[in-house]
Amino acid sequence: MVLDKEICMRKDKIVQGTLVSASITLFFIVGITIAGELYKVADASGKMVNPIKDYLKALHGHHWVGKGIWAVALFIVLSVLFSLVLRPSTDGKRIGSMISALTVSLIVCTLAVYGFFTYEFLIAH
Amino acid sequence: MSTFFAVLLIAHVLFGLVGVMASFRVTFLLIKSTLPIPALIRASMYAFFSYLISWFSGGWYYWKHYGGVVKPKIVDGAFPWAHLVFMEAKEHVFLFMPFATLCIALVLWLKADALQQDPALRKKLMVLSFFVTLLAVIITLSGVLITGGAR
Repeated sequence: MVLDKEICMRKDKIVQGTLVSASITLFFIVGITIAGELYKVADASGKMVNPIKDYLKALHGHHWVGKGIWAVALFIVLSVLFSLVLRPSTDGKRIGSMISALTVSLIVCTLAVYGFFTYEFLIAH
Repeated sequence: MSTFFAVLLIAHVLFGLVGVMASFRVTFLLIKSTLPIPALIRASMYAFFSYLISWFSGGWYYWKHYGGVVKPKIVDGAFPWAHLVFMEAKEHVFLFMPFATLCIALVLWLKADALQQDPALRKKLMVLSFFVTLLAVIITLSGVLITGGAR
């Protein structure tokens, strides 16, 4: 009985940790993508370069691969961390709120990415 | 295009479509009053692994072939927006899919009892699954536009 309760609490914490981490990871992907495009500096020859994208490319071969690797690493670290520190919920309300937060994050992040690249093409291109 | 890259591209498309169907199935099954938990877990796992395989195969193709061969043709062609808007957005939004689908699979697997007893929780997961499916459809349509732009 005690063991069942312990397992149930552990499952709850894993789910909570994963849901919170996924929301943060989505915003991280959007943040690094938009920052990577907007942050430009002139190099020695006066040519504009993207330091964030170039750094990711130098480390991982391609900026997109770098973003993927960093996102997975962040997701794993945060999932473990939040699974340890978050308290188990006594009812399903907190997990319900976290699921809704992930839904909102997914919608906002998708609109941000499509909106940003549309803006870049129409205005800045 | 070499046979290897053709296989990668086909795998990217096929596994992406399997993922869309599996995500749709999860959404559909979550509407039922009594949840078929084993079927839901299976479908959510299919969705997660399909997107993951599509992610890797499409990513490898994009990294090693698309950027050097296909992208310049599209950007210099009549429909540069196919790459500059749709491919740029698609490649980044695709990064969301494995995280979102893994969360759905974990909730179904670890919180099955709570889902069975709590219609509000079930509805929230169904809404998340619906938007994952919608996003997968948007990504698929973006892929169609990019293919059109390349041709």
